[in-house]
Amino acid sequence: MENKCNSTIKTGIKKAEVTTPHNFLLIKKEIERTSKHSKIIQYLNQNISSCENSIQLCRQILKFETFLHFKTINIFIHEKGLTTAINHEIDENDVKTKNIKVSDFNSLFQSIKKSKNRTYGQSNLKGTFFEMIGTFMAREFSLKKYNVIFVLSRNDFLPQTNIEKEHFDSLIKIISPYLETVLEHELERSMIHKSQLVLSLLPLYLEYFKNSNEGATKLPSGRSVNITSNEEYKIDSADVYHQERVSLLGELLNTLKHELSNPLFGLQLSVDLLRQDIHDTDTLELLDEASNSIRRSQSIITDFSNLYTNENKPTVIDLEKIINEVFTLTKSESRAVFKTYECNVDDKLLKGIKVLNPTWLVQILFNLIVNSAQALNESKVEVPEIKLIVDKTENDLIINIVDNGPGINKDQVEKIFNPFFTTKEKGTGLGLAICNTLAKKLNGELSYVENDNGAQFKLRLPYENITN
Amino acid sequence: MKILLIEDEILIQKSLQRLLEKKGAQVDVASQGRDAIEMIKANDFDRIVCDLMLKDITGFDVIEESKSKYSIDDISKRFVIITAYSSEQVLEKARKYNCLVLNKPFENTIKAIQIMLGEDVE
Repeated sequence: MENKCNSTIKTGIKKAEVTTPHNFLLIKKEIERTSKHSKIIQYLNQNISSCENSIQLCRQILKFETFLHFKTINIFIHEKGLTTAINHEIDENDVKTKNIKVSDFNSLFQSIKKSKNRTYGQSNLKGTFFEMIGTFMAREFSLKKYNVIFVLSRNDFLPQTNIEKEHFDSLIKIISPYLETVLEHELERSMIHKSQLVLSLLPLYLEYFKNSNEGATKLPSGRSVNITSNEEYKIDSADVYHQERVSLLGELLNTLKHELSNPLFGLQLSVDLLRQDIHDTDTLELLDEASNSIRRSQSIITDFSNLYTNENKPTVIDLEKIINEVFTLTKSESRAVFKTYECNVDDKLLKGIKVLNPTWLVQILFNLIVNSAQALNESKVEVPEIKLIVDKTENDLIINIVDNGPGINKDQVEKIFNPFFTTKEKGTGLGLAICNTLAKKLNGELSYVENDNGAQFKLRLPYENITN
Repeated sequence: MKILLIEDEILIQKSLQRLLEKKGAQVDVASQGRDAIEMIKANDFDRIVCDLMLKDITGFDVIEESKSKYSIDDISKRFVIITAYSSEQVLEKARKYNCLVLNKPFENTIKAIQIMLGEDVE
């Protein structure tokens, strides 16, 4: 009777046609069944969202009240196209995972599929690689990308109760989409993991992302790689690139400093020596000039090597000095550009700004000035000009970097701070992304200001960084 | 006063030698640390002005080798270290020998010369 009911239900009931008392009974049964069905649906719906993988899904199934006597789930997963399948043996506390041969997987799959009592058995599922002791309920699934065998076992020889069988049937009917989703996610994660592993070995600053809205690149596998879809990673890639550049430059400048400081010191000593021997005023003046030049060379090399440091030491800086250094640093790029500096802030404030790492500030200003200079050089503006204007508001110190070049197209403004976005033929697209990151690290903000006459960037540094 | 000047940058060596000689000192020079050690063992110097970064060994090695001839007290009185690398570790090590340390470049050459000659400096 039980089997008959089941088979009727399996073929589907045309409720409207059923009128006889006997069939009425079936309808009642179906309603009960559906309600049981919905119980497990409800259960899965409630608990599935927290499942990140097939193992967690199986654990949730083991926890379902009807299956309390079932202690183990064996799930065999074969991703179509692969040469191995895997088997997770899952109980309440433990998971044993092993690889199995596809041929073994297939023979088990076929035997369950062909089995007359395909769902229920008692230790008749024996293979060379898999031995089931006790009562079990098994079912095979053919999903889009996977073949899956699902075996729920009791680890004892007591027969299944009807309610257990029914719920297993219900489970089998509804579990496919859950299983498919979870396995997809698992595959996706392992793909991401593998891709990230590969990418981390390459000297490139790329990340692999699953969901991409912008700039996604389709791979031959049909998946896509996106290097701009995650805010956190965005900052990382720009930051890593920047840090490496700074430490490389820092190293270079340090070497230069050490190599130059000795000969410069020798020059200084010999000038001091000559000064003692010479009494002719004109020659003495000349020696003073030589001495000044030597000292200036010494301080330039020392200042520059201090600028490129990765050490984060809150330092009180002299903003005017920093700006002059940046102008010196950008000399070669901005040779033909007229540069002005306007300061609407009193001297005390200007000399009392405390920043976590002055290198970052220099880097921001340097990048912005070089960007402007390059745009101006290309645009052939008649009188190219870069203005650096220091202002203040109630809470912030504001540095505006303004040029009279072509500016930034309205449709590109949104993207300029994205890493790898560039309009230059040989640009890395990291300059502004780095500036943006560094401004945030200084607790400030970098923004683009609409300006009819050219490009304008505004760097805001909060007063909290400013000492008196 | 008899001074040994150990310095491998020739312009610094020659200038310092002249500056010290003008003050009346008798100055021998060495560019290499190993040569300096031989000279220290064979002569008696009132002052040994020693650069830390030499081409063959470090100034600290020269000081260590001199321990066979001089007591620790002698070393602290005789040696003047001149260095461009005044990192905390270097200063710490120099303090251990308790001898004078002058940073390169000198802020004031005349005063530096006076220190080397053991004159009182304001």
